[in-house]
Amino acid sequence: MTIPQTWVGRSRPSVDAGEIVTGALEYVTDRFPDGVLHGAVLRSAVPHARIDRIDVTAARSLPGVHCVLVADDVPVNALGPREVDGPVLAETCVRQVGEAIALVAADDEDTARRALATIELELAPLPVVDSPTAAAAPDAPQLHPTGNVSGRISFSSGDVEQAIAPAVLVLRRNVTTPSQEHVAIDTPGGVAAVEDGVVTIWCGSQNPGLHQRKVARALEIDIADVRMIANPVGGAFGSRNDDPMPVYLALLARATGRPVRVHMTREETMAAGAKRHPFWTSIAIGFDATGRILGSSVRAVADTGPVITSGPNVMKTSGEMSTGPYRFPVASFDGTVYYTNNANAGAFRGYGVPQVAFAIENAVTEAAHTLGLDPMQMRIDNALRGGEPHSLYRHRVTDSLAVRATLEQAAVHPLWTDRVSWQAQAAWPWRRGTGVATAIKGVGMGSGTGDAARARLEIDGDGHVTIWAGPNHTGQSIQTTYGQVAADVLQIPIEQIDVRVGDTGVVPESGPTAASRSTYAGGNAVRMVCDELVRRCSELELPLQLDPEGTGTKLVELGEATYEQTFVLPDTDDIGLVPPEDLAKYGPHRVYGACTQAVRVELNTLTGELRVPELLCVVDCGTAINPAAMIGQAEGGILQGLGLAIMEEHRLEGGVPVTTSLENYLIPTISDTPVMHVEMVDSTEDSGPFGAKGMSEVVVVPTPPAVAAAVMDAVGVLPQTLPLTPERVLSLLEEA
Amino acid sequence: MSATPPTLLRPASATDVTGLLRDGRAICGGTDLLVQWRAGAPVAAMIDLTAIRASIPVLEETAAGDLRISALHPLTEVTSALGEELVPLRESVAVFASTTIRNRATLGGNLANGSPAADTVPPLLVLGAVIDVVTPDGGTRAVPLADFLLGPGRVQLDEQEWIRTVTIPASARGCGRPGGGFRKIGGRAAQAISFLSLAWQWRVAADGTLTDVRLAMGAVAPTVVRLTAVENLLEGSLPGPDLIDAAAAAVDEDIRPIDDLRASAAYRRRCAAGLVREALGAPAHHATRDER
Amino acid sequence: MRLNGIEIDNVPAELHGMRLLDYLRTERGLTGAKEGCGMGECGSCTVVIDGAAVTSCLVLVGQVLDAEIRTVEGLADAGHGPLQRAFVARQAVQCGYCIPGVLNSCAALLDRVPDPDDEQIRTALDGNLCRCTAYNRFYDAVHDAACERRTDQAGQA
Repeated sequence: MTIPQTWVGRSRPSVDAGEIVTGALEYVTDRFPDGVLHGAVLRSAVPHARIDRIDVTAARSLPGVHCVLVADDVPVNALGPREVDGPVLAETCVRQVGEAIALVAADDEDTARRALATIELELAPLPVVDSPTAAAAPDAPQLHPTGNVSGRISFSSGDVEQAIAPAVLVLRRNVTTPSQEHVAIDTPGGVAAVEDGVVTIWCGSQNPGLHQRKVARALEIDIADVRMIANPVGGAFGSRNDDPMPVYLALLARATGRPVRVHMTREETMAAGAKRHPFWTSIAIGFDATGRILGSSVRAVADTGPVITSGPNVMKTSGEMSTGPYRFPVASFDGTVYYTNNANAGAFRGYGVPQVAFAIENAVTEAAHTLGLDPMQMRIDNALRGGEPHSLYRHRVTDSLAVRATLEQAAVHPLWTDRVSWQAQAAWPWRRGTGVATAIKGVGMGSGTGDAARARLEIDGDGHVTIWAGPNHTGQSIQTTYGQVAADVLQIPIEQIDVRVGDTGVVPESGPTAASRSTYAGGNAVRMVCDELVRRCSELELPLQLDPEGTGTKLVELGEATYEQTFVLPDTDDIGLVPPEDLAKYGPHRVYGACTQAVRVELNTLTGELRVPELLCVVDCGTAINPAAMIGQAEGGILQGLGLAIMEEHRLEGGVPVTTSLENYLIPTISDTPVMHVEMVDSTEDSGPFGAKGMSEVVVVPTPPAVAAAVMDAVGVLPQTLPLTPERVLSLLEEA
Repeated sequence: MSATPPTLLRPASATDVTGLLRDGRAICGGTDLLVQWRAGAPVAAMIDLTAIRASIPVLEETAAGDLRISALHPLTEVTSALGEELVPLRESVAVFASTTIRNRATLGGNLANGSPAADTVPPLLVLGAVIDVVTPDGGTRAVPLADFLLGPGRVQLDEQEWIRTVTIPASARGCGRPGGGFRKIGGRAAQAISFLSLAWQWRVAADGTLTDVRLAMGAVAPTVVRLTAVENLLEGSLPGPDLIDAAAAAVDEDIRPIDDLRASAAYRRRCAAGLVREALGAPAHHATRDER
Repeated sequence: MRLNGIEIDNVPAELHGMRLLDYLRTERGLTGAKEGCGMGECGSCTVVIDGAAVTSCLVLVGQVLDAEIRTVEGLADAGHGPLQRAFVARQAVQCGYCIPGVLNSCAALLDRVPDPDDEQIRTALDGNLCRCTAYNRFYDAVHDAACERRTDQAGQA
């Protein structure tokens, strides 16, 4: 029996939108509880130094100061179980600009900052490891007892050089992609308070359960005595995966016995917040005369800064996506992540995929040009299809994969079909070009990882249903999505359902808002728990839809008003070449979302200015549960990809950040933003809720290589380094 | 974040200002000073000049036909009042920071700040602006803008002085587009500090000959500079391909760009030449005119 | 000053040097205005002062004691309910942190230009950074609001 869908597939405003537009929504950083103290963080101004002395005597005796905490005051001074997770507060040395050294809580912010200024710090400078090359040098200072290699992953499905020996075209290219800052408009912060031995933390988090564990570890308290309330929050994009702020808040609240508020400045966030990993990627790839890929070998090097955060996991995703959305016989990957004294890098929407995609998509663009082939058709011919083996791991990908459909739909769009006449209409000194790129990105944490999400449901005597589910909401209106799924399964009005997310006190552990998994994983858990209620009602012959009140009352009487379900993300059916014992190490995905973009670019031949007036994005996301929300996600992701392509770069010199604020780290304004056409293809993911899968990362990926391809179309030179600042573009023009 | 709030005083009239400036710094739009203060610049007291606006017209025309522009009104109000006048200045304000900043920022602040990248300064320089400075004795002195600019962050303004108005001589008026304009290159399309900028103005005779040629460039030297060598080449000439090549090459003579976070000196040189070419127009356009 | 239509007298002199943003959030409890950068770059603290959208992190309280100030909390009373509803209906908000500032920039535009075109909307919003959306729905929402306000006025006439 198919369930008639009433809510799924219809656009629906976010449940919190009404409060957002009146200013009534209280973000975690808008909380000023009675008696709140104000916290501040002393941070390192240097990239690498030994700490010889910290004297907080003066700070502690300053009137209005309630506590000053240094490393010794943290019960377990660690942000994770491994040494490489780094300390909460620097103990023997500092390893990056912005590293936290001390915490202060005071009556007001001004006093807290004055207290910081009185802390005496004696630092002995140490040599700065300012690049992966420096980290790999034989005589490099070792940043951890385990050395400077944070992680390495390599895999080969055969002899690539042999496979590409008969190729008519072999490209060996190097590309560089920069460090990118998330710039969630709300900087990290919130409030913590201790009551009856329980510390409650209101602080944005993409992974409330992980933060709960981090806090419990650092404070050496029972996990049950920590409650993370992780929204409303002003954006995330990966920045709230590894953020240590909840730990700082909890430490200050416990030390003072008072509620404590901290809100980082933008300047602090620019220095201390985790970034997208800068990558140096090289590719060797061979093509036959028809443009078919014969084999590829990708080597990648990433800079993760001084602590591990997501470094090796990001590289794991890079490895899987190093073959792009293409099917070919032989591939290899070798990626290394280094520790340095640069900015810590961590999770960022796309998670290692944009970097390697830039390598392979640029190569395909160049090959099409060199071989005289249509770049769209060449991608269609190479596209990996549903059910086929992945090019590196040879594991089976989901039947719903519709890369080819996204390309075919883009190929008939006027933005693509009119590209020649559009180019011809360029007016001096501007030139025009159109480019295309395509990508896939796995949904969830990958096979072998035991990735799971949970949902709990309760019906009351009024027939009202409350669902507690994860992953959390950080702006994607996930509660609305869960509500739509629930309403359709239960076949009751959506207004009768409340969805709560992001509170470890009430929401069962569901993993992170990450890896494009929220709709797929959380949606499935919600579907399952609702299915269970429907089944129970059916067994008891209770008419949930016709008489919700009577049904609710009866279930409460029976003690059967509460249900909980776990959705475990299914592994791939066939793990291919991956050794079973290493499945989690490589984490090949079963389910992928896909996206093709075609981009129009205009370049000023005299100044190097580049503008992007119009862009087409075709998404394979399975069923769009809330189509307008999905398109909104796509548009925002594209703009982050465009920022990476044309203007964003977190820069350091000798480990010292030089992009320090929103005055010198630029993100796209409305005036930089193209007209966007976002379309979907027909696809259904059988393992997803109502056929849905994830899409919010893959949309970031094609934008930079599509822009590069458009530049090539306009001026005949393919850029290999991002971002495409006017200066880089003018240099390219001089090569042309 | 908020540092210790400074004392803020708000004199109601111009005569009250002078004494106060001995111990405080003048603030008006605040869009630069409050950013400097956040970055740690020591400011004990701020003397707010916004109340004095009431006594100064945003724009007035003198008997001689000069335009006197308030240095204390927000840029948005200045451009509204200008109507079709002073194309290079209006175009510079149109791309100055963002709407929210233009609604506060003033010509006085942009001038006093002394930034070589200040966007209103190149157009004011080509327009021959004179800065009307209020002196400690309550009098005023008129300083030609070229003399006012001393170096990065340095202008000819003593501690107790402030800028009341900016005067554009009648002779600079009446060059509408295409005889004037402003272009900036920044890191993005809005809300960006200029990597470099160009303001220009000239009169075009019926045969295409250029006269009263003036060009000024920002962020390519310690101060905003006039492109004198280019001006000399173009004055009285009919631009054709060869002259445009020569003009683009002559830009180098008047600029001394540096490498900084935003751009390299080499880029600034190449782009400066490009901006001059762009201002002179499409090659085809000149080719046609040359044939005529 | 008049703040969302309410007269506020005798602001103590020691608060005159405070940033308007801090004054609104901590002294008046109006937390709709957000801080995203503290230097006028992001626009999330945008309020309307005497009809003009400005970043309240770059205004000191003592500068606006005689001014009419409107925050997002005062939008509905100022006749901008249609704008707020259009942002909801168009699903133009995601995390929402930038939205109070965006709405204030839009409202100041609509008060000046009842039926703005896309270029005017773009210029009005060029100081409001949004990192979740791609701004495109802001145009649609402003057009919807302009249309509804016109219809309302026609109905009242």
